[in-house]
Amino acid sequence: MAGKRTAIVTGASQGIGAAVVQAFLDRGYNVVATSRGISKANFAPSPHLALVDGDIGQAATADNVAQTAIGKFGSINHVVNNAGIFAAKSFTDYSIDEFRRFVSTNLEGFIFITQLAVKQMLSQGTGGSVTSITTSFVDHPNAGVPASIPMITKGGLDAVTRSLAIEYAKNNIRFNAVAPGQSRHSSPQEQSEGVSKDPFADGYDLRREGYR
Amino acid sequence: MGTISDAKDIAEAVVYLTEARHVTGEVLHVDGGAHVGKW
Repeated sequence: MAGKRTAIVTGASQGIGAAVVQAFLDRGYNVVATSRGISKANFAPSPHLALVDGDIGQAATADNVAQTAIGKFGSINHVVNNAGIFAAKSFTDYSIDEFRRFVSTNLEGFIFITQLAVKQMLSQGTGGSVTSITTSFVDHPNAGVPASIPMITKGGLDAVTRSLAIEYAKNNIRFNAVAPGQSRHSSPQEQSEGVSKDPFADGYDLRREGYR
Repeated sequence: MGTISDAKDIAEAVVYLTEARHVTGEVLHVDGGAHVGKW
């Protein structure tokens, strides 16, 4: 059984996502890893690993990921919703466009792939799991890292995790979340773009930014 | 503990939740205790 389970990992090119991909491969899972530039990431080729480039906030990317999992490995058993973007600033400094980007990646990026995965799990009848990366700052905010607007999306993930856990409990599809605090590993590209990756989802090191 | 987490620490929690047959609706903190107080 262990060698035949298939896991989808989003935001998989670096940080936590890449670590999750490696942990699953080490344990004999088949993995479909996706991110905007996953094919340029440094994964060793493996018959158990498929890479799908694309923006997970787009339904077409989620379709491609799900079809790859089913076509190449025959099932979807687990999803890790790791893709997320984040920027810390004062509430009054966020623009509506930034808010919409958070919603696109952090929420629509959850919804599209999770809907497809749940449909597939129901048709398989074998249960499964969906694990999302949120942040401990949802419940325990820190004035040194003001992030009100992205927290709307991360808090939404916490809430939908509980809703879906009950909705699909009888189908043996489990929904959980992992809430990191600050973690190590920076994302230079995102930093240079001025929209840092979620420090909790991707391992952005806030100490470098003077938050601690 | 009392330090910033590595990506591997988070990945191990993800693997646990993926395989924990009777755990659902849970939010698992992996932050060296930072969610319960300041260190």
